[in-house]
Amino acid sequence: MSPLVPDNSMNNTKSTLFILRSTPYQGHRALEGIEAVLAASVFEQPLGVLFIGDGVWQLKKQQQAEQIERRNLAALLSSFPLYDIESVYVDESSLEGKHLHSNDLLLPVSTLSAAGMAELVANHDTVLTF
Amino acid sequence: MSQLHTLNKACFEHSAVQDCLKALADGDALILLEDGVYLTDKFDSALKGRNITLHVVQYDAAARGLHPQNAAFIDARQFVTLCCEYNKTLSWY
Repeated sequence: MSPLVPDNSMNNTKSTLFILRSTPYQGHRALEGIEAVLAASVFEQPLGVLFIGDGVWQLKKQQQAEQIERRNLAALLSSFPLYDIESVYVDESSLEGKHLHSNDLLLPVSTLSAAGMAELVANHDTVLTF
Repeated sequence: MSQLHTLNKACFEHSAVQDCLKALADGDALILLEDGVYLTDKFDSALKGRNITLHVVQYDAAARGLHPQNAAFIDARQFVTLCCEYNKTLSWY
């Protein structure tokens, strides 16, 4: 799927990697992370999104956030392809630790090993974590 | 006297979870709420064979897309009832 190297073919580009590592509904950090990704996508700079640790819970299908009167993050994440956000990665061991499989997830993602993660970080100019 | 415990953390290695496990005694009950619902399966295994009742807050699980098989779901009303039934409530957060 998506390459670990962002497309820097345009001049004067700066690539950003967003690392999302919070559960979806404890506090508002997960929402802030997703909004930052969506805002950044407007500037047409290469960006990548990596879900790791508890952050992989954001990708879980069948979220019914209205039951706790919260905004459904799944709906926002589902809009990533509309914003041309297609470099979406998930740490493989985080999925395994939670007994989650790719068919439990609401977005197509590339799974990464620890080595792949280091490469991903090295290949981006800026990294923001939420 | 038996106690009611509540837990709201998602990470099994979190000190709140580990401290709760140490404090749980036979006859106690545990409610998993908020992010605690992510640990339903892990607590199901950890408490196997022990006389500890596990409850899971239904709306918190549904919000997070979880529909565990063997969970004893409770709603807000049952949550309050449990708090009244037990001698003390210990909140692990």
